[in-house]
Amino acid sequence: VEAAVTVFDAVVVLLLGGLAVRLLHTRLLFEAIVLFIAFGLVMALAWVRLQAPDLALAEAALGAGVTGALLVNALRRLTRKLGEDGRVDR
Amino acid sequence: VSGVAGGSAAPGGAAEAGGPADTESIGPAAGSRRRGHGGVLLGLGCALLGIGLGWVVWTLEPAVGLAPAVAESLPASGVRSEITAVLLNFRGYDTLLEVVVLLAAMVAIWSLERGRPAVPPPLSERAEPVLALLLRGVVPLIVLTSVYLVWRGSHAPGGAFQGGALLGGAAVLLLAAGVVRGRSPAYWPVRAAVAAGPGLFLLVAGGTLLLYGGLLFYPPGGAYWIIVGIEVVVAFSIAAVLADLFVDVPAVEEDGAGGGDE
Repeated sequence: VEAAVTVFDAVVVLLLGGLAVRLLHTRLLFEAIVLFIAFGLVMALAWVRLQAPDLALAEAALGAGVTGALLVNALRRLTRKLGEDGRVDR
Repeated sequence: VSGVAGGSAAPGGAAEAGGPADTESIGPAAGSRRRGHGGVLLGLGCALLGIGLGWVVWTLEPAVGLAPAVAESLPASGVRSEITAVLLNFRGYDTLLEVVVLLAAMVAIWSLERGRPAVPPPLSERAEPVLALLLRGVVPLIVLTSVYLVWRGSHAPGGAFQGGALLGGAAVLLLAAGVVRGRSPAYWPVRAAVAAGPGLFLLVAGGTLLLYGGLLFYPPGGAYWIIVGIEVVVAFSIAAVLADLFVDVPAVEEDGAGGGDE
């Protein structure tokens, strides 16, 4: 069982790092938002593993849920300015 | 009991170790691709900082923390959850100020130039059977869960912030689907819902100061009901703030002429 838990922790850590890198490098704002929501959910798992269930609940509800909705709302307004696909050039 | 916040700071400090480590791994690559030599230097600096911070955190003595002190005073707090006892009893004024910060942020957003609210057409006028079915199934469950989380906060993980966030999420869902119409803050119930939480909290703080000689000193035996009352109303206000964030958005320049950030 302990080996499985270690593997799970490793997967969570790798997912967090991978999602963060991908999230920072994508040029599609919508993709970035989806990745941010996914990051929030994996982060909630990480809080559970760090024995902070209160933080996990708050992260899942706020970080993944409401923030995602707010970002999508903001993107919908920005696409009028940026063009339909919401692509940013940097 | 004044130092209880230190206990909650310890796990936070440990968790921050993940941050620098991530920056360290992506910093050099991201910098060099875009900024040339300056970027490499910046990346090296970030990597060094990350390694240094990681080393310091790694070699820290394990913190004793204030968990024993909290556990000792828990029976007197009126609730059985350590987190809630710290948030709403031992360090009640921290939470009071947090709730006031939320109110201040809301007022700041209200003072920005109004955007035209995006009003989706009412759900009844659209052919969206899947969305309608989803809302009918999911929204009652979310509301039920949020009430459960607020109540559960007195004896297990949960509480006003988590429950309020869920309730706010349900409201955002209904607003986005066009089931309910967003109202402007000029409509007084909106302001009342946002102000209710901080208002009640301040009333309790002032009342306990006058009656029991200390800010948020709860009377023995009455702590449970005071804490639950504050949690319920604060959760409602948090939900109102989150829903209003979705409705009341600042103006965006439509034609791109003279946008503030360009």
